[in-house]
Amino acid sequence: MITMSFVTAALLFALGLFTVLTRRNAFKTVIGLTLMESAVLLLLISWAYVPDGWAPILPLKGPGADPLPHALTLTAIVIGACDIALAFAFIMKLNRFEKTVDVDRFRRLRG
Amino acid sequence: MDRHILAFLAVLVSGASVLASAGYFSSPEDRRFYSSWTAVFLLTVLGCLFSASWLGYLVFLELSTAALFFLTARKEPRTAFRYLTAQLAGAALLLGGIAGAGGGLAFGPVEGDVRLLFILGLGVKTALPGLHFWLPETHGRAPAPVSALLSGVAVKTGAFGILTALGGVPSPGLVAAGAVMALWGVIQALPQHDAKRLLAYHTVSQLGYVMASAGAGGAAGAVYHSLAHGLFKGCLFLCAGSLEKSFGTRDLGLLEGRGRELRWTRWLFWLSAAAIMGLPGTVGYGSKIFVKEPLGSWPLAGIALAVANGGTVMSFCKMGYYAFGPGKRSAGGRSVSESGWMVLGMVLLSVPVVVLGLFPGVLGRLLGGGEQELFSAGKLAESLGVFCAGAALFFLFRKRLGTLGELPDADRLTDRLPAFFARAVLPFRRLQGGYLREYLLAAVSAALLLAVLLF
Repeated sequence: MITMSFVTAALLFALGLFTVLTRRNAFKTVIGLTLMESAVLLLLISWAYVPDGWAPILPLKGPGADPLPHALTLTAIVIGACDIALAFAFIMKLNRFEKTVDVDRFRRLRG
Repeated sequence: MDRHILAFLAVLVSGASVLASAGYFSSPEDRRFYSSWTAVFLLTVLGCLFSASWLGYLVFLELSTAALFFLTARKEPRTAFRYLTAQLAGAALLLGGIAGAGGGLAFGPVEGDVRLLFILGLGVKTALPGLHFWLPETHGRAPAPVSALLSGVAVKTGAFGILTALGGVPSPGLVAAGAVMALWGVIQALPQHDAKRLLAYHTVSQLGYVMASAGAGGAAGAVYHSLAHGLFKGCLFLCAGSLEKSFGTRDLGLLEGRGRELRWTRWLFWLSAAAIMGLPGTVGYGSKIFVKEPLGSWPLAGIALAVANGGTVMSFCKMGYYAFGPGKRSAGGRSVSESGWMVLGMVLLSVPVVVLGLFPGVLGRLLGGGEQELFSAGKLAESLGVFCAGAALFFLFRKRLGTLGELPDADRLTDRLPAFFARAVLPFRRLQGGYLREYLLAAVSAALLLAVLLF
């Protein structure tokens, strides 16, 4: 069962990477990044899977699940939401000054 | 006592600079900016002079560099950035020295191998030969009141550091470096047309006197000459600023003696010029005697300093002749006025030049330089003889001096460095395509590579 979870994570990551590399719309780039982020979180949670595990609350009724990756993932989800908000704010600024959301037409970093 | 005398110099020159900046800058914003940053500069210099550890000294020295950077950058950003780069390189060497000596080193003599790092790092501040590449441009291009601060105070804090690091132990290398500086500064100054660049090269030359005296173990002579040079060179830079303000140029060839119309500037210039030539009755006379006193066992250095003094006389005869000498008057009988604030600043610096010149022994006793007959016939004859020789040489070779080309100096070499570095980093700049997708691909592949390598 857990193998399916790993495969899903890999597919999700590949989908996100494909989106990021082929789309020129900045909104779609952000969506791609979000997909990749979800894939990484899913990977983290899948690794933390303990077969027949119980919630790690005393007294234990069996093998306890590791709470650390779960807490980490929860934090990462919150940070990810903030990241997306920030990225959208940047895109709004970009649209205001450059009149475009096409990332290929915004090349001021060129050396 | 050394640090109190240098603090006195710093207060005096900063005060004169603030007064002069009221006349030099026309807009009220500029005046406010310069006077407030000069106050910051004075504060940091005092912190530097009275620090108890080398680290504190370095921090305050770099803060004063930052203050001078802002003072220069308002009008001359490029020059200011070069100045900052050179000073930070020196600070890095000094910091390396402090770290090598174990960090919390008390402000005093430095022993062992790290002393070389201290001397090199502070040598950038005091323009030791080869490390002086930043000085002529910075002192020449900065606004005149800032040049007075740079030349009068800033280089003296570095010289004070070298003096402290040596701790009175004679160092033949430093004596040689001082003699070379004294001669090289004069050789470079003689063909200059730009009044302030000429004065900047004389700063190199006069710092050579300070370094030679410090290297020979004569702290009294070094501090005495630091004070004297700060006073008269500050005044000379303000004179050049007054000329620039009134005539819109500081090119000696274009002034053609019109400076005569600025009555006060003319007399104060000749007074300071007499001081830098070491004529009796000015502070330069006593200070040069105290500089030469410890050089008894280094006759070659003594001769080099005497020759440099002759060259100084020639060079200031030239500057005075072209700026204030015979020539044409400005057209239409329209008289040009000088700024009263600038004159006030120059007078503030000239009073101690005369007072200390009339009583040269007072400062010598304060510094513990020992009693000696200062107005003896031999010393008077030497001073006047060098003056007559220099003046005679100037009037003999006046025509030749006007057409003399400038010798290449170290700043020619350092001017090429930015272009060289720009070429060196060009391949890395080419990597920047500006495409967001390339950056994302690079980041993701780096992360995947890292994951593969770790597992």
